[in-house]
Order: sequence, then structure tokens, then C-alpha cells
Amino acid sequence: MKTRSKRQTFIWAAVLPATILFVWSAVSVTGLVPPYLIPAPLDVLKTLFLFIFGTQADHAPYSGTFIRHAAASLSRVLAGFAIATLIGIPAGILSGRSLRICAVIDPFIHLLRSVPGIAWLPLAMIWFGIGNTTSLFLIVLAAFFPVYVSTYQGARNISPRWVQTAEMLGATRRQILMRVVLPGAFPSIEAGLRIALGISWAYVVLGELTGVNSGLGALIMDARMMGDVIIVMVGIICIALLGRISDLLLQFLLRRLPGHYAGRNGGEKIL
Amino acid sequence: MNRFNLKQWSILLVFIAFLLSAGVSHAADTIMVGTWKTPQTIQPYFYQDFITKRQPVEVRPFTNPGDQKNALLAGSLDFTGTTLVQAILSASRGEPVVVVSSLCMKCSALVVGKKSDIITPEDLKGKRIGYVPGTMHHVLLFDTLARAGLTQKDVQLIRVDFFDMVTALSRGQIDAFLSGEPYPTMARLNGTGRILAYPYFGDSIGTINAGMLTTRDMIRNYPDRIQELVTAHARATEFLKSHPEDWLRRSRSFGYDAQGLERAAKNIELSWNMDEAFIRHTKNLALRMKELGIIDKLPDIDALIDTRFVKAAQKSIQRDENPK
Amino acid sequence: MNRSEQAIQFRDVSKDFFNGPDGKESLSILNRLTFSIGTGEFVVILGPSGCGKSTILNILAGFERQSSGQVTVSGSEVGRPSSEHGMVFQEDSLFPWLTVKDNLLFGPRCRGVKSLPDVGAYLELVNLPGFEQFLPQQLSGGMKQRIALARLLINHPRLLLMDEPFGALDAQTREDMQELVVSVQMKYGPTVVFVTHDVDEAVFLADRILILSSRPARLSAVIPVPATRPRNALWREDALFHRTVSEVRHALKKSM
Repeated sequence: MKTRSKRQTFIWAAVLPATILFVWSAVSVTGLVPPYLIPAPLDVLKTLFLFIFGTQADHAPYSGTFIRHAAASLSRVLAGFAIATLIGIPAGILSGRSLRICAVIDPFIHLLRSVPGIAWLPLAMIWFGIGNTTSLFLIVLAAFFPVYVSTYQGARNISPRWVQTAEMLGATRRQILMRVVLPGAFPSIEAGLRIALGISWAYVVLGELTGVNSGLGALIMDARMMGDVIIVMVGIICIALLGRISDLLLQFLLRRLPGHYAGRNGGEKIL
Repeated sequence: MNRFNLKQWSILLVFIAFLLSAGVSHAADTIMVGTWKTPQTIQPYFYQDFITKRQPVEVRPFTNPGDQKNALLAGSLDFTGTTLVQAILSASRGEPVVVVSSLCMKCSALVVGKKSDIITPEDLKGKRIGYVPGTMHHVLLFDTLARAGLTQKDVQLIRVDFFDMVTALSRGQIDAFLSGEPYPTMARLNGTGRILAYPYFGDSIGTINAGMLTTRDMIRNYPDRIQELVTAHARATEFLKSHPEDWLRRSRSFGYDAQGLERAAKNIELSWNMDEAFIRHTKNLALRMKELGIIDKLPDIDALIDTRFVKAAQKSIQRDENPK
Repeated sequence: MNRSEQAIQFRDVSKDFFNGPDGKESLSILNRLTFSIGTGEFVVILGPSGCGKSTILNILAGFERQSSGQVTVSGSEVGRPSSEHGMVFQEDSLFPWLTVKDNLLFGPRCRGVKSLPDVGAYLELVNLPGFEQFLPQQLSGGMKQRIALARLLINHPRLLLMDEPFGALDAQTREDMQELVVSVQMKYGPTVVFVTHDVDEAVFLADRILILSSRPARLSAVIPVPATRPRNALWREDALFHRTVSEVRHALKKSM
């Protein structure tokens, strides 16, 4: 029964992409739109294949370079995401549990949050110049906010009974934060982490706009300047796939964490 | 007063948004011209003074020639500056673009860190070099490397925006860059850079750099407008060449420093005409790009370049100078 | 058990809450409440809903402070909550991200106890042997309350506070839980302050029943329960039980 529904889910999920592919092929085969605006899907797939599996012998200029570019972007995303998490979770927990800390940092954080990442780019370039630091700065800045906000909400909304119980069982303030608030806020934090990862992928492209020579964002920028719309599409497809895979990986890891539970009202009752 | 319900509010909002966006788009007969904000690509900013019919001209600035060409093909621009490298790239992909005049010559320089150990182009091996893909400087860089026996793999190419190159060099984040003026001069003036070479190689590619681009459709449907533009371009170019103070003043308004501009002027040449030599050099450029692996297919340069507009403009210029 | 030492003393205790949009309206919950409870005593506080029974427990637990008057436990003022005064709430308070075993060991681990107690023994005590690896969400309401009780007992509290802990359970389970509490108290001997509005429950469990008037609460009556310990289900059938129940009901009506 379970295998069948999995197959069904897959079929339903494939409906939209299949339709798009069909319309795309029709449009390009009939020549309705010129190839420099919408290249033939087969050309895109061929280039994608060469990009990932090709070697230098193949004539295409980017063949075989997928690993290098993907690894560069991936490492930036992971580093930025990790830093945003390491700063955002403690900040959210402290802010959610201490009115004093909240009063000091929360308004400022929300002020910064209104500024879109792309507006920070010129400043980052001035401070850090070209290279990885600028990328990381932008990613951390953007990914921090969903982590902070979701952690803050989670920390504020934990059941007061849990805190009282912990106090009664002899826990210190610090122990309460680490052993009750953090796991209690976990469902909310989890949601924020997933959003933050998606944002990290979006901002890695921004951070690779200029000054780095490898990365999927850099690839897209290169292709944009050289007018190679096929490589732009290949880059976008790769980012979409890697982003999705990293999201699934994150969910998998989070489920394995000792503090994970299905939420307060989840799970089956046995008795 | 009646209160609207949700559905009525949404319809109202959509309608307002539509009106606003329609209002923002330009009037039907405004001519849209694209260029980038450097002293050597400045002529479009003077078209309005030289266009004969009373038509508004709007100039849109870009930061890279690839975007300009895309905007042209998408229909947002009627006429745009471009590098000849972009034009050739575009033509080799079968895009329906046409070069109808030139824009500027020379302007390139290869800059290295002042205190660096790079003395000859061969010393560039293994170094980090800033460049902008799709520009003349891009091909000239590859050409320079090839002449020094180096390929792309022997160096680390880093794509950097023009305006970031001087800072990147002074911070030591790149070891060299090849770009257009006035950045090489700026690097020299602020003491962080030294010109290694001016990459013009005799008769093969000569000193060609940029031109004005439009689409086949524009030429077919609005030949008069294109002629207007080319003639205005020619007149603007001649004016700026004979009135360097106006050129300097306008360039300064882009934010460039006056001293840097004056020194850079020696390496800048505004142009409009496309003579025999120009066409020959462009053909050689295309060949070189194919050799360097930048394009796969050699485009038909004679089809890419259309000289009738500059020829007619030539006659107008001569009439300007001899008004008998 | 030594009853002469007063475990809990309430002296002229008043508690006001400030309500309304600008906190100006004050609501008097407890009004000069005075009573005392001996060490090891099982006292049930009975009264109409909303009369402040929970407030008394909260003050004893250290979650709230009285507005005026003196509250002492074992001779000293009540301070912060600690593992000396454990409270069982009516709602489920188990940590859902921990197994039963980890829930039980939460207190000892927090306090840095070197050798952890045997969880199995406490599960046996509350009649749930073998449930170490279960998650709270897999348990029924009654089971969760039993685990909550075990979680407190593992810390050997001297004072056990119970705020209508069986209110959400069905009648049969409730009776089972009452018998459990009684046996636990026999075994470990903490002082118990138990709040309920169920008269039968009160008479089954208590050594003494304190009846509170409606808000602002004063001590309306104190009724001793004439039954010996150990108590079991048979006590409920006893004629004396029913007589005491009537007496309590009567006193309750008078207090409203």
C-alpha cells in the first residue's frame, strides 16, 4: 500500500514539469520563438549532460566543470548557513526568553531585516573586496533572519508548564535554556532552518556575481555576459537540483537529531 | 460611504497597478538608446542635441555590454553601444544584429600591480587576472596570453566588474587586469598599478573596440530612424572631438576624476566611421576569436556590418563642414 | 511520622492580582488565610472553582509570591522553585522530546547526581514497568500522569503538591490513581497538599480537609478524616466514608 502511494505521489509531482517540457519543446520545434531566446530543450539537456559528465575533450567550453562549480557554491552555502545558524539560534533563544535582551536586540534586527541583501552588495564589496568573504557575508546576513525569527517564536511559545516543571526538577536557568527551551522550540527552529537554507542558495548567486571564478552563480554571470542562454539555463537547473537535494538532506539530518519529535500533537497513540 | 468588500478591493488594486505600470512605460515615439557610462562610450548622451526631427531620445545606462545586447533583442532598446566582440558572439549564434557605426577605438590596457614581479606577459603565468567576459578587452587578454605562449589554464581568470578592478588590484586580490580606460590610468595615478602593455597588435586587429548595434527588424521597419541616429552619432562624435572641454565635463559628471580623464584621453579615441580597415580588422577579430575557442562558428562579417548609414552620415558631415 | 513539627505555615496570607487594561483593578484572591500542615500529612484543599486553590499551591511551589503575610516551609520562607517541592499539574507536562526514561532522569541529571537512580524501580512503583523507551505521545492521559508523578518522586521531594491532577481522567482511572497516590505517600512519606473539587476524592485521600470559601478565600472549615492508614479501595465502601462525605458537602455549601 505504501509503495503504491509513493509511486502515485511521484506521478502527480511530475505533471507540471512534464507539461512545461512539452510546451517548451513544441514552442522551440515550431520556431515560434527564436533559439536565442528559448533554446531547444534537447540542446539544454545535452549541454547539461556534458557539463556534469563531460571531459575536456568535448568541444563545449564548460564540459566536465560541474564538480568544480557545484563544490564551490555548495561550500559557500554550507559555510554561510552554518554561521547563520550558530548566530541565529542562540540569539533567538535568548531574545525569546529574556525581555531585557529582546528589548535591546530585537528592534535593531527587524530594522536590518527590511534591507534586502542585494542592497548590501556594494557595501560588502567596499569592505571585503572581491572573493569569498563578500559571498559569505551576504549569505550569513540573509540566512540569519529566518533562523532568528523562527527560533524566537519557538522559544516564546513553549509551554510555560515545561519551564515550571524543569524548575521544579532542579534545573538552573542555563539548563532550562539548553534542555527545555531549545528542544521545545525545535519544530519552529526546524522550519526556519529550511527557509534559511533556501535563502542561502539564492544569495550564493548574488555573492558570486562578481569577483569569484568558480561557482554556479559565477557560471551564470559568465554566461550572461557572453550571451550564452543555454548555460544560464543549465546553471539554473543545477542550482534548483542542488538546492532541493540539500533541503532533503537537511530534513533527513534534523529527523535524526536526538531532540526531534513530531510536534506536540503528532504521532500515533498506542494505548 | 459604502465599504468595499475584499473582491472589489483586489480588482481596484490590480487596476491601479496596471495604470501605474502603463504610465511608467515611455511614449511610443521616444527613441531608446543604450550605452555604458564611460568616457569613451559617451556619445549617446549628446544625441538629443544633434537629432534633427523633434523626437525625444532616452539614454539607458548599463554596466555590461551583454545586457545591452539582450535589451536590444528583447525590444527595450532601439539602438545600443556594444563591443565588437559581443557583436561577433551574437552573430555567431545567429542573432539578428547589425553593426551600423563604430563607437570608439583603442582604450585598452593591461595593468599589473606596481610592485609586482610581472615584467613581461610571460610572467603572467599562474597569476590572478581580472577581466570582463564578452568585451574587447577579454579577447585582447587572451590574445596577449597566446602571444606569450600561455593559455587560459595557465592563469587564474577572475571576473570582476570594471569599477571594482582598481580596488581589487590595490588590495592584492588580483595581480593584473585588462580593461578599458579610465581604469588603467586611475590605477597608475593612485600608485597601485603600472601599465604592462597596450594590446594593439599592428594590422591584425588594429585598434577596433566598440560600435553601435541595432536589429535587422529595426533596419527593415524604421530605416529613417536608424539613419537619424547614425547621423546624430557622427555629428556628436565630431563635436566632442573638437570640443574636449565638453567631453571632459560630461565625463566628470559620471563620477570620474578630472586628472585621470585628461591622462586617459591619450588612449581614447571616439569614432563613428567604418572604413575598409575597420571591416578587415573586424574579420580578423572574428578569426582570432574562433582560434581562441571563444566562438564555434565563424559569422558572416559582411552581413553583420552595414555601412550604408555611415556613408550617408559622411555626406551630411561634409555638408556641415562646407555649407555652400 | 512526627506531626508536631509544622511543615507548612500560612499566616495572614493575602494575594491580590492586578487586572484590567492599566492594571489598576485589583482582584483579591486570598484574604488573610491562615493554616498549618504537619510534616508527612496528607491535606486536601477543597473549594468552589476559582477560589484560589491553585494560587496556594503556586505560592508553595515558588511560582508566585504572596502579596502580604508569611508562608514558611519547614521553618523557612519559600524561595525559588526547587526539587524539594514537586508539583503535578492537571495538564500533561511531560517533555515530549524525551523518552519516559529520559523524562524520569531529567531531574537527577540536571542536579548532577553522580550515580543515576534505577528508572525501573520507579516505573514499577507507578505500575508501568517496561515503558522506558516509550515517547509521551504514545501514552494515554492516565499513564502520562503516572509518569509525571514518578518523575517527581525520583527526586525525593519533601513536599508534593498536586493541582487537580486527575481531573482530566475517567472515573475508573481516577480511582486507580488515587490508590496509587496513597500507596506512594505511605512508601516515601512526603507532605502532600492536594487540590480538588471532587468531594469523594478528598475524603478518600486526606488526613484533613481544608475547605475554602469563595473568593476572596478564607479558611471556612477544617474537617479531619477519621480513617487509618494504609487505605485501600475498601475505604470507599465504608459507612464512615459516606458520613464524612455528607459532612464535607454540607460544610462546602455553607462556605459559598
